[in-house]
Amino acid sequence: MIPIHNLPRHLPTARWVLPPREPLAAVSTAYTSDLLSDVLAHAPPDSVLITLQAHRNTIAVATLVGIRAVILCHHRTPPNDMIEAAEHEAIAIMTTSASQYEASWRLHQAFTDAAPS
Amino acid sequence: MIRADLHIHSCLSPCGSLDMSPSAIVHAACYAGLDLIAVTDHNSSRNSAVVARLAEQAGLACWHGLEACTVEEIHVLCLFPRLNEALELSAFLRERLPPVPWVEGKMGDQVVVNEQEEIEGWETLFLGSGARITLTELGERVLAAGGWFIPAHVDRPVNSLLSQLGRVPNFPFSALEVSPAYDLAKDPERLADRFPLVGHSDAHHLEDIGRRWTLYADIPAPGQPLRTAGVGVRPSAPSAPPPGEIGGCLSRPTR
Repeated sequence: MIPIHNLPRHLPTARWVLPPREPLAAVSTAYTSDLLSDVLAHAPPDSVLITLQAHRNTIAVATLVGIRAVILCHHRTPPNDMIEAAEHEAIAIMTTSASQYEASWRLHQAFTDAAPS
Repeated sequence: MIRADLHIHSCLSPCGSLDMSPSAIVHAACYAGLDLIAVTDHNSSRNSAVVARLAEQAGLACWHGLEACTVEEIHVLCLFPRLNEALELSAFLRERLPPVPWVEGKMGDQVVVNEQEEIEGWETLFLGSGARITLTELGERVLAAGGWFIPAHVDRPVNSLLSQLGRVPNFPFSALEVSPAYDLAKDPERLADRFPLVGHSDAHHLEDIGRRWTLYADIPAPGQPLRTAGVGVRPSAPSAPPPGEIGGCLSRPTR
């Protein structure tokens, strides 16, 4: 488990576009996908979504699944309507220069290191 | 000239307004001066039979079909001159939807409605998902059944041919639908070199019906290519969809 507000420490040139409303909420896993049907069917609740899909539909799906934060890779910029929807649904948005592979690998390391041995 | 609006959502689509009953759609289409319509809900034609009966009573020409979402998450209009083929495709796609149930309160309503605007049933699978069929497989199936296969809003950043594949593949599409944001005169993607371009309202609310249409000299005959005569826009309609409609098709209606 790591507090959600610590996530940017683990990713290159990461910054919150919309910071988490509950910065101390703990997350323990992530899901990586660019197909929203797949996210809807398989992403675990209370996770972090690593994706390229910078648009409002991503927030709709994240809300249905119970995803707490969306990490947009390759510095993809969220449009305003995505930020507004995320604010309404209390889902945080972060951008990073990392690819989906690198973001997945780094967060996996971080979650593993933080797990009680 | 025939004015055709072949992309209209009913209350069966999770993003469609509950006001979009078959009878209200037919009434609004007649009022808007349309000659030919198609109700195209996400992955389903379960309201099409009622639309067909009401359109016939109103003397309004009507095609039947749906807006499929393929495994690549590309939205495509699948249109048929006869109801049976649309219902067959609807049943086929339902078998291929992922087992994601519709959740009351979290997803927009997905209701099947009769001629009297009474709710007859609810679709229990979430219709916004991508069905397990590729663009090519679906296209071959639709064309073989005598239908028209038209990728929807191909220039949009979400759920479009260009957003999902990055290019227009080699396939005998019947036409390509472009959104209001696409400059038809400049045709920046050079789409018109390869396919007829069409425009429709993609209406999710009653007032949107007929805000955009495609012109034909005559109603295209079954099995024939679409020979379009231009795209028209209702003068009072906004030049681009209001915020919230682009990519909003997984969420509840916003207005």
